[in-house]
Amino acid sequence: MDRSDLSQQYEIRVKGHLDERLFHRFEDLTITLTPAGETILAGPVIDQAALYGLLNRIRDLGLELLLVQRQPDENKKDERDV
Amino acid sequence: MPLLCRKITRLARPAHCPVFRASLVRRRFATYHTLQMREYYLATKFHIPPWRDGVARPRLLAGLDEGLQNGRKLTLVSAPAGYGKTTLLAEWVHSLDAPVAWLSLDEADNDPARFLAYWLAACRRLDESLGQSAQSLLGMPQIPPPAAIFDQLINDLASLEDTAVLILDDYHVITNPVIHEAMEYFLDHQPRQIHLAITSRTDPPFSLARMRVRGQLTEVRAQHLRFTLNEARLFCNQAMHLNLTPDDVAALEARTEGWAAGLQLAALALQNLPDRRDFLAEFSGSHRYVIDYLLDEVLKGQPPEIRDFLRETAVLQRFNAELCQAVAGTQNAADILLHLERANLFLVPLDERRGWYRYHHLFADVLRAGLPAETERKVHRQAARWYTDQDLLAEALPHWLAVPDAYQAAQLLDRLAADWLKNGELQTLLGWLEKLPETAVNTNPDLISYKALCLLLTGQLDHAAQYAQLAQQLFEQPGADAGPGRLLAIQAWFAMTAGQPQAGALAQGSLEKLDDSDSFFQAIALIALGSDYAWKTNLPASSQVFRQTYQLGQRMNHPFITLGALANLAFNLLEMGKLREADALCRAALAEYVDQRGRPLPILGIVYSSLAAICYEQGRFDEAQDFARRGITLSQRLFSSVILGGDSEIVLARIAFQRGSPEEALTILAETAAAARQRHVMMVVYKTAVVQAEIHLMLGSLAEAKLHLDELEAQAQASLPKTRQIFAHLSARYWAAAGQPEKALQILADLVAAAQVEQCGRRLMGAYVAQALIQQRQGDQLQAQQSLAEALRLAAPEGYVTLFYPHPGWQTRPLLQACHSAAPELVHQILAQATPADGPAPPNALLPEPLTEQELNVLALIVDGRSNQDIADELVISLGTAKWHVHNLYQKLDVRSRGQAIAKAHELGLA
Repeated sequence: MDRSDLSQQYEIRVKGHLDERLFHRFEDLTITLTPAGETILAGPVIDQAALYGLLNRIRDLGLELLLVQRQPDENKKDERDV
Repeated sequence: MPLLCRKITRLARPAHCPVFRASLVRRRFATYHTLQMREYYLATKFHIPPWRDGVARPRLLAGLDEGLQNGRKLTLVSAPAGYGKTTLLAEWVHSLDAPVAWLSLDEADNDPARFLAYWLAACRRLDESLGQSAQSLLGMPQIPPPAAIFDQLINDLASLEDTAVLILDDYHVITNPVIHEAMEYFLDHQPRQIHLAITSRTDPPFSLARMRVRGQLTEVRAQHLRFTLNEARLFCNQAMHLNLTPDDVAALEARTEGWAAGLQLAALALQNLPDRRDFLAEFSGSHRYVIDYLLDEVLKGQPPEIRDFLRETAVLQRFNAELCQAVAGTQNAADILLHLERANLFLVPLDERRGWYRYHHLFADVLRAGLPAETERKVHRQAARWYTDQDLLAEALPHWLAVPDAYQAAQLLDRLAADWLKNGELQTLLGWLEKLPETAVNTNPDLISYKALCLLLTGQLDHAAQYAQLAQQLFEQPGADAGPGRLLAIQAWFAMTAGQPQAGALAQGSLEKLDDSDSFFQAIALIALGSDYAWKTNLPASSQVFRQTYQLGQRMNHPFITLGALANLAFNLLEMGKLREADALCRAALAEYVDQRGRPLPILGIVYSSLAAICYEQGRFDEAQDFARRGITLSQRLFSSVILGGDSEIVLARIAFQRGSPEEALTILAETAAAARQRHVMMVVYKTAVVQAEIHLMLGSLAEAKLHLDELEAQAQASLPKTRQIFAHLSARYWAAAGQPEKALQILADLVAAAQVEQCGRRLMGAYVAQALIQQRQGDQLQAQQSLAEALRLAAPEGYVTLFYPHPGWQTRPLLQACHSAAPELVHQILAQATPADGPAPPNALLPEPLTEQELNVLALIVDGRSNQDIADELVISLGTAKWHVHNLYQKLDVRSRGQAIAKAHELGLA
């Protein structure tokens, strides 16, 4: 199936520093550990089904979700995935 | 991959949905019988939804076909609710010529046992012979890891000739990580004959990125499923006959963003409206959530009767006309359903006959949202009663809980539990037990018993014991009845694993109270009882109980119980000296429990440890080792440690010893004991200690042997005679080695008498052999020969071989030769098999130059105080040869005299 890239940039913050052994569970995302003791997962998310799938994975790992934010993206005019 | 696509061709599209007459629908409902109802109800899970949407989507089908033809593993249709995921796959499979199995998932499928059972059932729809071997594993009290079950299924699937498509609809309801892991395992090992297609509202937690990179994945996502302008026009104007202008279609498409559910609702609303322009303008300008807005509009267009019907029946997961009638109190439910289906009002048929339906999940959620709490309770109560009357108890249960009516729920759970246990659906049973209010469980001895049993079977022993104790307290209150049968069965089981003598009384009490419908608890009580008899050395009674258990297992059609009883029975027969019968029983099971292709079913693993022990006694070490290893692999992969008893490990250790590796033997035993101790399975700790003591005695390491003997003496209880007899036998051998043969012989005489009374043939043989050993050392050759001949006569017809093999402390050859006439064939067999490779003296191997077997024989005679002439006579050699042997062994032992040789022999454990 054609996968024209409609993905949006997302930033997800969870409490605590994610164990490195779990990094592979979030294959497509950049993982940053902040000095404030949070983990930022950032990167492209194809659509809502993928986003919810990601949140489920975070839930199943027992992580505490602090924030989910879509990043403004100037290249993307498509507003459909609101 | 052209190979894969030869069978996949496009078929003509099915005709649009047929129209059923209401009278026909009603007549069909009247013909249901309860049992058929149950089966029919479950069959709806495999029903391929009809394709009838009216808008063909060739652009999407082409992508799906391509993925299948290119041999990709997985098609993932991942998009939020209402995007037409199921509809798309329904359209696709109706166009395929490949065999298709469809499975609609729901929340209850989060129990791995149930999920796998449905998987296998779905596969059987492709081919009857698929998954038998996997199926046999599902009846276990605790199901094996799903990967082990999938292994069996994957083997079967790999033998399919044509590509088949397996569809899992609504995978997002699965939240159990065990199932996700199992699915990932299947994807990793998927045979090329299977194409998997999954619909889900959210991306499943598989390694999708990896599959994308490898080109193993076809994805259909929201962006693909959105209706294009052209598809929206076809839908509105052809399927729904709305005759909208291109602008109107464009406005609708823009506001719904091509969302199928939105378009459908909008079209439904428009059908009944005189002024479409106003609606479109208002809808386009509204910021309300599309579905709320549109559903209100659609419902406004329906008569109140239909509106109420929709709201009330939306509480139900699935329904037929009868159930709707019971819930909504309408007499014409069948007509209303027909109307809803014709009007495209959210109804999804779940079977060919238009018997069962559900609402589209998305609409059901919104419809239900407007229902007053009081009405919802009423609906749940009516539904619960209806399902209960129909004997669809598992369906009634969630409704009673929602009422909430804990009393009724507890009653139902009690009736359902036996079936779940039988199917290994422990997670389901535990799940419902946890959903009931705590007081409802903790005041009901039957439910507590079930909880304790589930915890026991899932290896949570401490928890299980807590519940068993809690139940016990209930009955200690004044005025309370004696404990019920189920609870007693659990307590008996605990007593058995802890090696407590009251297991038998508890089991008997339990069996008196249990009735035949409680077969699972009966089986547990019987096993505890049979085991108790065995520890009390009443082997005939024990065997009788295990035969009874075996028959019960067969009546229950429960291979786990059947084969479990068989394995126990085989051990008893081995003990009783009936090795042939034990062997025949186990081998018959090996032949019987095979799948249609003649391959052994994995459930047979239960009898592997018995077979290993039997082969060991027969001196067939290679075969014994093979069975033992398979038994262990299986116990590690398939069973909890609670169920198997360390018997395979013990056989491996004994073989290692026989083959001259005492270190390895002791290591195996120490590891087994440590693992058992950690899991509080004291029975296994005990059994390993017995064999450890045995091996140290044979090695002549008396100090170590003493340590284990002290441990065993502490555990030997008057109330469990077997432990005392085992201890007595070992201590006799200890005294013999420690220079007190008289004491040893006295103990052995008592043992022989007891073993004769108790029909413990194997122990009798063991005692005779030990007597022979001591008598030989004492120089009482005649007596020694008599004792050994007794043992040989018992052993010969049954094929016991290994217990006559030589070991360092005992060179059997001369004695066996002397007893030749007692059992010529057996003696011949033993002498032929017991080559030095079978029984080299391990301490002997520590010498710079090991003694030969003949030198060992000579040494044994020196230790016994014989002269060179005696030795020559005994071994039927010349005096010169005897002297030559003595000379050689002096050199090898680095000694100068008989006295030094004797001392050295003791020091090295060679005597």
